[in-house]
Amino acid sequence: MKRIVSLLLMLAMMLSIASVASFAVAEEPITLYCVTGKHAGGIPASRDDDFVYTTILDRTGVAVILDDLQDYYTALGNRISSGDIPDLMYVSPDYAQQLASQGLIRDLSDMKETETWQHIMATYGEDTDIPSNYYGDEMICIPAAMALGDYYYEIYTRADWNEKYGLKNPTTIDELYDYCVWIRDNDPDGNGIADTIGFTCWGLTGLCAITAPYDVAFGNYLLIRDGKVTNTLLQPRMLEALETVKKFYTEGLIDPGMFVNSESKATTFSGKVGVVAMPWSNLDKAKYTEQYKEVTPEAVYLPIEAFDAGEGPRYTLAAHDVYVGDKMVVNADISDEKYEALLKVLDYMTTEEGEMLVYMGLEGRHWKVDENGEKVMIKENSAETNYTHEYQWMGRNDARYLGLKFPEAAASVEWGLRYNPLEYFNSSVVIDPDDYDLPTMEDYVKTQLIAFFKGERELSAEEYQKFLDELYNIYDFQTYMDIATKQLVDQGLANE
Amino acid sequence: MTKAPVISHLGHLSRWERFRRAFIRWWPMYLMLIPGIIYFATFKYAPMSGLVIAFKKFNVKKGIWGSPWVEPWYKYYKQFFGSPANTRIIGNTIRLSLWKLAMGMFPSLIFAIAVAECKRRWFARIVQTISYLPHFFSWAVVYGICLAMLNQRNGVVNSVIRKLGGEIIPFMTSNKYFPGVLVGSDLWKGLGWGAIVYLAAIMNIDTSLYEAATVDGCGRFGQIWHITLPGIRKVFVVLLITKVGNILDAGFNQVYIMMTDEVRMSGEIIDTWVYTQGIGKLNFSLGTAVGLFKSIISCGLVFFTNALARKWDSALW
Repeated sequence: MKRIVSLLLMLAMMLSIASVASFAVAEEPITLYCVTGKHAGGIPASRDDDFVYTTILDRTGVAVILDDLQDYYTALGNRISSGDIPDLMYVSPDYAQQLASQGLIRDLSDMKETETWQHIMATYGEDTDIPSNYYGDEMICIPAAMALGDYYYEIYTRADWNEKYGLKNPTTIDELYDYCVWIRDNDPDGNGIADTIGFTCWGLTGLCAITAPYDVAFGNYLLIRDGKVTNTLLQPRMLEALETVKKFYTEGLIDPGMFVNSESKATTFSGKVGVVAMPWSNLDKAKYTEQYKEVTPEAVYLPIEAFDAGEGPRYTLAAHDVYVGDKMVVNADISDEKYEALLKVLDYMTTEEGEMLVYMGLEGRHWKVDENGEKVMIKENSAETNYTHEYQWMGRNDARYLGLKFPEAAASVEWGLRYNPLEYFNSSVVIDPDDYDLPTMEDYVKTQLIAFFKGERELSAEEYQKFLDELYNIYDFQTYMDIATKQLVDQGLANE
Repeated sequence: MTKAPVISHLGHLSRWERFRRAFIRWWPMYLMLIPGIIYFATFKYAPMSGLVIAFKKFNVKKGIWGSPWVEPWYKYYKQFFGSPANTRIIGNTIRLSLWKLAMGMFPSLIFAIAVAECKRRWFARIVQTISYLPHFFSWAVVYGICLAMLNQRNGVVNSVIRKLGGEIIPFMTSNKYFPGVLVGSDLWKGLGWGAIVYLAAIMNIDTSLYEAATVDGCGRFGQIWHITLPGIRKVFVVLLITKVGNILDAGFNQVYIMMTDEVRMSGEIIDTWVYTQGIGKLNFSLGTAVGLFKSIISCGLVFFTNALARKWDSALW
């Protein structure tokens, strides 16, 4: 008996050694660990169900492990401070500069000598190679194409109310005012309660729908006018824009919940608002349309033309180089093997198949070519592709991508791409915190602009001048403008 | 139980000799201290060496000791105290903390006494259990509840005010009311939980004292005043000392979640500022410098409160 037990034990040990040995010889794919904070919904819980992961692994032999972190910058900061730095990080341009100043990310300049670079430029455009990708002479970000339309704020009205009550879409700020008054006073939802509101939007950026026609946005935004660097706060029509918004606000035409995105969205989805300014991607995508149709089946939100206040129709705000400024950066200590693997993946993403994979998913399962030779989404499976933008490391061609992926929002996309945004240059300027305390100044600007239009601070030319004096004398605004001007001039974007 | 050693007759010995003798006699007890000492040394005292980055330009790659010293050494303090927002955020922090301290101590005390005085125990237990619940809600949930109750457009409170013909109150969007919302929601969340310690202390009071007081003709309020309150005085002071020690912590999670640009002037506190300036921008040195400043102030306040408590014979040490 003892002998049998001994034999069995020996057999078990040998088997386990053999299995370990077999694992040891099995070839493990090279793994790239990548973090983002995009909060995309629908990332499959199991990697085997992530068709982008499996396809990239199949085509390149590289396993891209993607982690979409909650409370992104806190989580990333904690990882970095503890030395657990991911291979790839999706970060804003100023964060990339901070990482570069600490030597934490790799200089990618040598990528320019590779074929991958040629392919990236050919696929995503040479205009992706922009100054904010650099820290001194080092290229620190993987170039990414402009993502414009997704975050454009557009103006929508309730087409069903227009039809029902014979309302005309407003075309000027004055008409917008009258339109909002009508919505406020005439109970268009017919519930017998005065609970409808004229206008809602997403925070100060959304107010740009009203202020952009004055060539103004509420916040610290660097502009270039006549080749010179200036700031929205110094624009001649700022006071006029503030007065207009104040009139809307104090007369109860603007949703008081506009500073909380979820509340503004709730107002919109519950069918209580006449005019909405928000990114089309939060209203016009099929999943959101379904949501508001569930609460207010008759609601039809359609985009309208931008208002004109004498400076030309504009209703949104966009950074000069790229609206969504976040880019992919690479850990400075990445091994040569992993770097090669990264180039391989990037190269794959520049192929037609790779590009379509991160745009629309798999051919035959998520999209197909229709009888006209056009690529179209397969509706039944399109929800599976909700997260593919997590893999759009080199951005995308919005005019092509959005139209293909969200045909239901074609009108909004077309609308969004048609208008010239109020173009600002903040993301082309890097402010070292040791040189200037930018967040504190920006916070002060926002609080004071809000105080002006909410009536908490007197709105007059004298008081506005006093506010500017505070900026210059207490917040050292001139230093900021000097740094910004120098950098923009150095980049050839402005004249001396 | 073994009696404590009498060491008064050892007074002529040196301190080291006394310790040696005590150690030989009580070595199992000293042995049991070792894990505790290791724990505190490893997790509490050793990390304190990291405070040095408050005076260095911390670079993650170079590490704590490899990072260069800043010039001047008080650079981050200058940055913090030199910020135009400094007076406002320190003022907000202290104001909010004091309000939270007052509202976190007295209402819980009153609530605990009320529950202890309730003769129907089943009712007291239900009330107590319900009052604990909000403590387990995250601040995000509490924020959602606050929005549902207090928002201007269709919040419950404003709907009632509107129905009664009153003026709508911008609780969540006005600098005038926002601190009140922060203090109120903190009170709501912590009331029941804060009462637990008081209730435990009340339960420990000798019931014969109450019986004697009843016999002597003392009423309910008299009993509370003369027996209950003095009976829980020590617990109250201990809690006060610990809370005063945290006076510069006005509740980062709560403020960070509930604050918008509209109410930044009244809501921004030291921790949210440090988060934006420090952690958010990888400026760990600034965060550490401010953290050290907060700790020194808090430590001083704890000593001060303890000295004050000594006057009423309730000091912690």
